[in-house]
Amino acid sequence: MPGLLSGLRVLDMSDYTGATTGSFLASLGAEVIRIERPGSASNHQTLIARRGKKSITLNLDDRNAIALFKGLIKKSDFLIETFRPGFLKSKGLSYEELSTINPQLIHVSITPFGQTGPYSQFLGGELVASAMGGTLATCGYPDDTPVLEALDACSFHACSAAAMGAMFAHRDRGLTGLGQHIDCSIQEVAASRNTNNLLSYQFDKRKLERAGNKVRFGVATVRVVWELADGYCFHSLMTGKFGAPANSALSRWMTEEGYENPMADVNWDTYDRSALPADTRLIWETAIAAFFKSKTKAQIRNEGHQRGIRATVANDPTDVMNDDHLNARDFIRSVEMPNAGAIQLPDYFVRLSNSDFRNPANIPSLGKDNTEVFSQLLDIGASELANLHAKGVI
Amino acid sequence: MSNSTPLAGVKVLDFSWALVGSLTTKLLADFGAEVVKVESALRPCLSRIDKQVSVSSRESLDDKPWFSHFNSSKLSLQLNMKHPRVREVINPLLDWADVVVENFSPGTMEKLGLDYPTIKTQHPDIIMVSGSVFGQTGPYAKNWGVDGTGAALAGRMYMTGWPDRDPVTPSVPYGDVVLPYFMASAVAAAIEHKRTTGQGEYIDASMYEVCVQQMSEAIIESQVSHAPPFRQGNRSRSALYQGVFPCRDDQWIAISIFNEMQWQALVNCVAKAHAEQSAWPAAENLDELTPPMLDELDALVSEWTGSQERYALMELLQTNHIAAGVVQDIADTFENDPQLQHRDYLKTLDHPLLGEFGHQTPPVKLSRTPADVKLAPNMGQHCAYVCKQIIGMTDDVYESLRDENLFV
Repeated sequence: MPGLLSGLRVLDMSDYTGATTGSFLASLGAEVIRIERPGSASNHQTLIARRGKKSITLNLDDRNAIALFKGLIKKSDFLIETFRPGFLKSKGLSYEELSTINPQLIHVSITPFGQTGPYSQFLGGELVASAMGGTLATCGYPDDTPVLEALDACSFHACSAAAMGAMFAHRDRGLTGLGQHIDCSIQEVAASRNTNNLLSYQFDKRKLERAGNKVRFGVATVRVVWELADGYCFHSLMTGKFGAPANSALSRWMTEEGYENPMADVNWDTYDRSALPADTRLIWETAIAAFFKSKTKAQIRNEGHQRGIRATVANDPTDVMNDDHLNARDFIRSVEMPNAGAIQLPDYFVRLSNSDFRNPANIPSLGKDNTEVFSQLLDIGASELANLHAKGVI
Repeated sequence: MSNSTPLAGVKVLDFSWALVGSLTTKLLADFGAEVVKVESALRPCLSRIDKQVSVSSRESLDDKPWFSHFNSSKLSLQLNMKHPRVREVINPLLDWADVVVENFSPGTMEKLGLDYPTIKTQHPDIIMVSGSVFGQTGPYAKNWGVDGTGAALAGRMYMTGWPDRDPVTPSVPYGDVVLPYFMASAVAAAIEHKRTTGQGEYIDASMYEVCVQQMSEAIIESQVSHAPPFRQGNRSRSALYQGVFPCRDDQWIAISIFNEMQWQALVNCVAKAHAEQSAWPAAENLDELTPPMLDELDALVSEWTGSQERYALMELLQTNHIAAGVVQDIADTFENDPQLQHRDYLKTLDHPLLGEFGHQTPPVKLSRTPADVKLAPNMGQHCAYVCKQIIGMTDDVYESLRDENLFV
């Protein structure tokens, strides 16, 4: 059986902040055509952005390119773009104009602040959008500068929200025959993560601020990142009967190995992290820190798991690629990169039972599919293609 | 059927609890799906008992803003899933439903006789989605995990923070609130696929795997670069130069430079006030600067930003075509942000026990079929409605089930 989106065509003109939406649609079987400027530099970001997609080039500054683009729009189901609001309109390519060419088009815009409003013309990017969305303020040590989460976390999240908008609109289009414009703001998606903080603030004017290697749970601030002999792990003592088996397993392990253990006599069934005095917590956490510092990642993964202490090693990217679980699920896949040979990469976003569609196992070089796409979709012959190429249109 | 929401007419049987499943079905419900949430006071969702804010009580299951937020627009069916007659309600609901959503530990639905292979025998075209930390198969499928587990496993945690300090984790969730968007997306794709082909689908969504997708760039780096990827504070390959800098009154501003023109604009802004222009590297040399040289540059910029009011500075930089944003905390985004307000990011709903408060609306806006966020249900508020209106149960049967304590 083909993919859930087989037979649908997507034009993807996004930059790296919006590329995941198209990658997700591609993983469900859509034909995603990624459009970049002729001569764009290739790096790891731009290559990942092409995963599962076809690659063509188009220079929108050229009038001939606009006509080609409108031709492609007529034959496509989705457009994904990340231009500054107003740019497409300046080219005569706003949603209003594109929808007259193709009323079924679902036009997905992913921008730092959204299509309209007082900040819509502001320049952004991952760091600025996460700052304005309120997530940056929750990450980092209280005594230090707020710090960005790994890579492009908020942009990736925004891409998932944009994909949802696109799919909901797709369902509606199936019934009504009409497309629409999806407006996704990275700032607003970032802000949507702040629910606990928003509720605490609305009701109690309490803020959940950044806590470094700790996390604030309500009134308690609890250490969650611990140094190991050769890395780090994630662990916290959880409240009540829910946390009791794991808490006592850790305490027992510490005692068995002769570590100082101020928690030896704690009744874990009644332990409440919110009620534990801060000075007691400090004594406990100091003892736990000394214990973890003596353990390796392998010991936490193996013995720690067998003992049920509920500590998770903070994998580095190499650990991730070698993870038995992900490999057993066939999630790690060898993909051919242009000029770089085979690379191990994550494959699907969600696993489907009845669809056996899989992404192609290669990433195209820039413009690899120009001939196929322009000749098949727009009926452009070889000599005209050569001419467009020579003029720098494609 | 109303045309005002994109999922009008979609019927969802919802076994979700906690965050991942509840957010998934909230998104479906806010966009018009009819979502019947199955829950029980015998084992209430943590968000019905968690006392994070002072107005919430120990006695009530209905006065928790956290629950209200993540369960907006749904119907509540209170049901003892272990009751001998529970199938008199569940079976007709399976006949009714287009979609089944759950996020229990893998194996739980099987114990209830509600796993996909079992449901499929009677309902071959059902669409079912399961959300979990590890996915439904594989050696770790039944391992314990929470939001931070996904961050630790996927490499997010290792890669977040300063190179010379322990890694850090944000005080807000990530995997738990990203996965639901992929789940809801896949459900909608499957609904439309079913409409055209008649085929059902089972969707196995793993929070760990989605977090690994987000780390793709680091995963490539780890295979092709001489220097293994490592956390690098606020530096990023996406920008020529960027950082977070102090402002007046212990506040911060984020600045990102993506091209030569923006770099020159920043140099002009700062040099006008302070340092000599000759002290600044040319844009094309920025990616060759060593970490200590970048730190020196940060110090120059900080000296300039440190005395300025953050919002005025943001306006100044943006006027000069430089990407800059105030590091806003929750008070700033809630009280002062005209952009979020312009997007109606909160909808005020009048809760019977909590009074009026702002509920976050879905952060993606659909021009023709917008979301419509409605108040979350009290525990069991819709038992009679679901039984009588949706599955057509007679009053007599409903009352006998009620008298046998099914709806608890």
